[in-house]
Amino acid sequence: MARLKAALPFIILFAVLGVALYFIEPKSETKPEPTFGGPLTNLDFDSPEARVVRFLAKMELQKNDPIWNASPTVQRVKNPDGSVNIAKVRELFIERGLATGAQFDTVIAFLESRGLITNNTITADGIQTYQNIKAAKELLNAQEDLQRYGRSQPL
Amino acid sequence: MMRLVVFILLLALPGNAWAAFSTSDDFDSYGTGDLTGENGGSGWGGAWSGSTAYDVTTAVSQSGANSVIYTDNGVEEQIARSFTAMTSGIISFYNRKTVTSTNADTPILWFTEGATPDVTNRVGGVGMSGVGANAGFFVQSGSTESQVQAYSANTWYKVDIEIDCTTDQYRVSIDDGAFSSWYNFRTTETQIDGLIFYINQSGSTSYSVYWDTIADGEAVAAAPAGTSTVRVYQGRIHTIQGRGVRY
Repeated sequence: MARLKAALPFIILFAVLGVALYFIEPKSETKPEPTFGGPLTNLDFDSPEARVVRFLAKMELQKNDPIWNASPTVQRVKNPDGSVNIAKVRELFIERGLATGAQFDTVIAFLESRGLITNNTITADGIQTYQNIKAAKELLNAQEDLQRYGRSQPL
Repeated sequence: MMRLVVFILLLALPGNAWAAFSTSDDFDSYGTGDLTGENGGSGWGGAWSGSTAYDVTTAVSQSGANSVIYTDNGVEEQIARSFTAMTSGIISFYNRKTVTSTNADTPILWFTEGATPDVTNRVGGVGMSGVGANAGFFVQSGSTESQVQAYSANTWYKVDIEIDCTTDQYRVSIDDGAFSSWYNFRTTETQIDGLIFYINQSGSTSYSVYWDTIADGEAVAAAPAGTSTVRVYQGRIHTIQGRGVRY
């Protein structure tokens, strides 16, 4: 009992300190990463930004492939001179449920501000962003397959 | 004269010049028994390759004499085949399952991209699901699974998968009904070049599943019985990207 009495001031001191620390220590921020208009390193694979980057990058990378160009969708969004008609891409995105008109417009402005597209054409940085998005998704899929099938490559 | 020569050359081009699905197989040229190693049909690259659990059978068929059967054996299985690459178009096939039990496996036709068609390079596909309260045709949209519609046991269903690599999307129609909304590819692709009949081995109820009559869905839809299809694409005649005819 005497020992408890002797320890009591310390117990009270630690309790007070604990309560004080709880209020003083900054709480960790748990804000979700933005997927719309957020940093490009965190682009969600199916976000409107990533969708536009993926679409425009493939249009650029495949522009000399006659089989790609024969696709009705490609023919639909190309101008007679072979350039991409961004207004028609916008129509397509709305029709396919990939973005609303307002989202598409915001994405285009956002990607231009990041130098990923210029005059509705994807830039080298935009192509690199596409490669990054593709690689990140492939890594994610491989991890998923490893867990599900015990392998991530064809037999 | 030059235009005429180009036009004749374009006529001679295989279907893949137009980016569509140019493959067909009704399995009627095969002997009964193992499907693996069989090499019939048209528009394929290589032979059927994979598990010996898939057989050619005359027990039931949607057209002709043969179809492919897999009977539950308690093991995860697949059989695959490469086909001439497509960027857009409709893969059409027939599917039939003997049970609707929620405790039976889900046989799935995955379409793939890569030198070796395999479940690990699947892009999207349609299965006859035994998962959930209502068994039905199901798709994988990105990483999410969705039901398309219910099915009845022992009934052939025509399944059309419309693919569009430009937007990395596909949609599905069952028995020539309205197409579903668009689903997401699991990856981003510039072409699709293989398919697999896959069994996920998720249940314990015995069943059999059949596949038959793989074809270009656009040509099937466009062609009245007993006729051939001529499709004209708008474009410039002086380049290979321009006008052409596929039949």
